[in-house]
Amino acid sequence: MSQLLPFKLGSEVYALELIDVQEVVEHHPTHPLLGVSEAIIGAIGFHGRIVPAIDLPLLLGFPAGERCERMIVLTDEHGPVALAVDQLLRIIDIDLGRILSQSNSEEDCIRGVINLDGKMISLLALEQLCAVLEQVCTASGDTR
Amino acid sequence: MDIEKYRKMFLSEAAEHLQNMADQLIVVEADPEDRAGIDALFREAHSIKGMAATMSFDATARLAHHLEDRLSDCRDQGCVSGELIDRLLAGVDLLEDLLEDIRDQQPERDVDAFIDAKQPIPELEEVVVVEEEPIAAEPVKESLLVRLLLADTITTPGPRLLVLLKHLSRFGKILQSTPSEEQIIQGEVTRQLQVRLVTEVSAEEILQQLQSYGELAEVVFPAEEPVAEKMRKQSSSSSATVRVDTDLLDRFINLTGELITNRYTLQSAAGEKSWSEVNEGLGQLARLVKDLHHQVLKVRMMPLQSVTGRLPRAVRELCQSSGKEVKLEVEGATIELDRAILEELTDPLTHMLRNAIDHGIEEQGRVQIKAWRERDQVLIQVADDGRGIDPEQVRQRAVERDLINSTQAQAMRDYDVLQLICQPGFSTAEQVTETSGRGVGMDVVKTAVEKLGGVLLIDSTLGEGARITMKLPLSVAIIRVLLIDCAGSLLGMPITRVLQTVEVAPEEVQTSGKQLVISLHGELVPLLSLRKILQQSKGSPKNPIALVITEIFGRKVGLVVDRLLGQQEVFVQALPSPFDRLKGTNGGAILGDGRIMFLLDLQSKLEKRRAKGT
Repeated sequence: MSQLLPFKLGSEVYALELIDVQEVVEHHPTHPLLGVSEAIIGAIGFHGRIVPAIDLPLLLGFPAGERCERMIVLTDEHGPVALAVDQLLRIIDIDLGRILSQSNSEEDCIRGVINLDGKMISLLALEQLCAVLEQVCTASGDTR
Repeated sequence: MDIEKYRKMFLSEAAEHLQNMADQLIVVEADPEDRAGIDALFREAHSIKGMAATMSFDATARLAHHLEDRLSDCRDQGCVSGELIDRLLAGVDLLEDLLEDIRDQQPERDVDAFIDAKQPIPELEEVVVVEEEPIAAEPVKESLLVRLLLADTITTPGPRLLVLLKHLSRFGKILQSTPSEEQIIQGEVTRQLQVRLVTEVSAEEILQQLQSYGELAEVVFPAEEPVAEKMRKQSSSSSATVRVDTDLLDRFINLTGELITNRYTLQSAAGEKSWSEVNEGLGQLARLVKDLHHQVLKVRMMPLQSVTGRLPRAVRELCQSSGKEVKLEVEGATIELDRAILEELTDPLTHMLRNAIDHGIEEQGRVQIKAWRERDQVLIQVADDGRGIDPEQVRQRAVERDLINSTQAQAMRDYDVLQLICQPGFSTAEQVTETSGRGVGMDVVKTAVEKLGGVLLIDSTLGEGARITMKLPLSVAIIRVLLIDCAGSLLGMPITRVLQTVEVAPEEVQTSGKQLVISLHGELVPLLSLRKILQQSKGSPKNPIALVITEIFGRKVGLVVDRLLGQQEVFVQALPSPFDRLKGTNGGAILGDGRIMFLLDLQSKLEKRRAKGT
């Protein structure tokens, strides 16, 4: 059994494995960084460290909007990076054997899909997400 | 014996003895009958031998023993011959390589070839080449050194270098590449690639094939490793451990004790809601933290000597290859700087030294390296008594290279003209030589100095020599910044990069062509809008307009910002991945009130735009 942290991006439900999550922070002020891609909000102060804050819905092509007050901070292995999402849902236990593996399209950052009582949950592929972020950061420093 | 535990200690101590030996050899060379000097050399070799034998590093011990024997003969004769100095220096180099093997936990390389060599001097470079080839079974093929330099117009050097590296691997086996493939992938920014190849293909053929790449500014087949490369290799490997004065450690313990006491004072004061005591406790805490900060910084400080100590060797080699006679004087080598800064200084210093010897001094002369402190900055000056830099020649060259137009050239003061030699692609050397670069010189130095938050100043009197001064912060981690507000974002600029801050009334802004300018001390300074650079909408018009006068690509500009928020000392953190890839900022800091400040790096932000020529 594994534990998943599901969250909403737009009307879709995505999830991360709890093991990849370092902390969920609440009401952390974000400090804007200008002249970069809109998907990069800026940074948050996280236990004395500067941690990049990312608008995950925007990064994955969902419309812009207000995000919820809580942010997911990934483990140091994946950054650390703070992800803003639209809504956090309750943690669920799941047998990872139930993942319907996805046709490996490289762009959408989805590792697989889980069918939970008829609801489809997309499991985020963190390696791909980090790669996309790197690309965005490399490109977005350039002045147009 | 638990070797692992002592390995590091051995390495750092042995490295120190070796450094002493190398320094002492240069001293003895100047005075071959210096008995005390020869004795000191003997003792150093003896110490290394003893330590290596205890640790069972046989090859190291044997080589040290061999050097000790030679020195013992010298003691009997009362002098050291010039040939032997060369041989001893080569021995020291080989010992350094052996330490590298030990550090990498590799078997020690062979020393018998060196010890058995009947000839007094196996050419120093040959020794290095042989040692770099671990494949003993194959007949040793000639290796070829290729150095490639990308054209200035290339904005993404990394991927190009990877392509070139792959291309080169088709010619044969790549023994070594600087930077390595991993370093390039990890984003090490450089325009130069140096590769050691074992190949059947001739240099001419490689050159021909590579010429089809338009992005290459030059292809060189240098005869030997540049001095700077060798020195960097050595300096970077010697910094794994730090020796700390026990007095300093005691002070840490005492401070920790005081902090613990302070904590309880504060706790009880808070419990009793006694605000006057809380205030007193906070005052004490502020003092303790400041003291701690000061002491911690001290641990990171090292004398400049650790870098300049190697320069006499470099000068010696440069003199040998150029046939000039140069005397090096170092003053203020005891000045201490953050080790992170010192590590980055090796290359610029070597480069400046090389320039002085190669371009400044004609037949014989003097190079002086002087370091001194001015408030919280350290100034390091490299001065030579050579021919100096001719501002007219610089003007002419700058116009030829399209760095400035002829009207600008006439309007610029000589001093400002001299700073142009730091522009990428600029070189006043009429002739290309082996030791000095080909127009990739001073811009690399300037970039390195600016990366450390410093400034490079060039001054020269024709016929009397040139003075190049680096102004550096004492520490990289804690620096003083000017805080700037731009469109609600908090930005910082190292105070060393700020020439001046001014507030001007809108009426004072003039236009010159399409460019907005202001007149500052009779000089027209172009204005740049920070909002525009950061792709923000125009703010409401301000009166007065706040300006930061700074230098971008060697040119003075006035940066228009929303508001100046004063100066502050901040602890700079490197930005974590993937933010380390962003252009325009190269660090950040969390301020006392929890706000995050990003360090502004305008040059990297504007680089691409500039490359396009706009």
